Amino acid sequence: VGRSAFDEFYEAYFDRVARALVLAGADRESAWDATQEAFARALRRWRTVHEMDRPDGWVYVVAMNELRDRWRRDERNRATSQEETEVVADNTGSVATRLSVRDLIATLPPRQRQAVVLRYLADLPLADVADAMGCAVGTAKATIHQALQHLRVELDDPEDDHAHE
Amino acid sequence: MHTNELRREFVAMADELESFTGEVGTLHRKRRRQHVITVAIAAVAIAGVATGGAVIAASQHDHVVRVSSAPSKEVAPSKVTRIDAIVVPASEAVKLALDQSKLVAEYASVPHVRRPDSLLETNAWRSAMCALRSADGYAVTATTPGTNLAADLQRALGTDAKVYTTADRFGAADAEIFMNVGATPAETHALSTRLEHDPDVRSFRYISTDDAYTIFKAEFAGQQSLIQSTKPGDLPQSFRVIVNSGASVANVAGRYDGVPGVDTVITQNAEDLWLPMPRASTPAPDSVPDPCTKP
Repeated sequence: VGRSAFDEFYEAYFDRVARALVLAGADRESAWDATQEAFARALRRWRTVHEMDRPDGWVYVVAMNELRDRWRRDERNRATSQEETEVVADNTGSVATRLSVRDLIATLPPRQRQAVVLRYLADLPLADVADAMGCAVGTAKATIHQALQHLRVELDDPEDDHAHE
Repeated sequence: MHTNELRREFVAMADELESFTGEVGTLHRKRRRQHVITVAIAAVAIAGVATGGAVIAASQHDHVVRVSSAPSKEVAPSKVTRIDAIVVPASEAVKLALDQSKLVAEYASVPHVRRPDSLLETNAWRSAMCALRSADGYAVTATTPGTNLAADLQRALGTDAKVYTTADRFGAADAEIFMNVGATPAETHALSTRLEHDPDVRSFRYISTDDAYTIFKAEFAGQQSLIQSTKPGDLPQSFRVIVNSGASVANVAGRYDGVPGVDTVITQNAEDLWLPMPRASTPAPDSVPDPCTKP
């Protein structure tokens, strides 16, 4: 006996989800809190979440929502996070010629950044990204397109092409 | 650069971050506390239920005329999503009475079981769960929600079996939608409107914070420390929802999960009476006297 499926799931994904939130622009404390809250909700309805194709996908979506709620609730936090983004943008601006994707990611507007992290780090389908962003699939797709253009990444993902309707 | 390289770049960036250490024990402790409060006021107050909205197969409340060759109203335990009463013990005579009673929509067999966590059960459930320790029984759904099934059924059964009412005075439900504590009136109103227009919802009942506190005090009478540490404002408002015959309780519940202002949606089925809670590494609750041996 001992460890439950939930505990194993938590152990396997807590770190990953929290890291994704940091890449999406969260500070470490908010990332930890939002991830913990998402897992708390997963625990409350574990049997439902457990039977999903991707329980981790559900947690990513809920954690990202929670993070955005926190930003909305706490204007001060949100301002800080945007301030950091702008500082990084200034730095990259001075690297005149060829910016790495890594530098460019830091200069993405928050929503574009969240969307690409969910799509390409968490590997979520577009529909889930749309859920996490609280928007229509078409809007999520457009947001990701804008982000990729900004990052100078060419789209070679068939799912993204199909989703255009 | 292509998206596959972007994926690799993201993974590399994530790997470079300092690790996060989770605290799963905190989650379990917090959950137990919420669990006690939620269970206290839920008509669906089965200890195992609140650990997660159960996934329930389509509920086939059988209001259509049955063919005479198959008069039994017994269904699989997972299909009994609204438990109005528990009848103990199980016997052929009791089955016959349940099959013949117009008050009974359907019922399922429940094996005798000793639940380890009966301290969390409310007064309404305690005697039923204690009776189920030594004998098999049935979980029964009433034809008409909110009717006094137990008294009439007890008359029909006589001394063959005892009927335990498991619903409080607000009646059992297929799903209970709990609002966040402090949900705004606008959120509650929006949810109510949505329920009114939901074609799968047969009926629903709003449980105010005051109603919740009334239920809570009645269900946990005798647990003074719990009552004293809980104020009306600690309890959430909720909606008890009964779904239409043929509609999936899981689908209806899922529809309201995550709606603004909603904390959690609780569903149950008769299997929850004996399937173990996913408690795992959670330490056992503090030892308390066995509720079934109390005078």
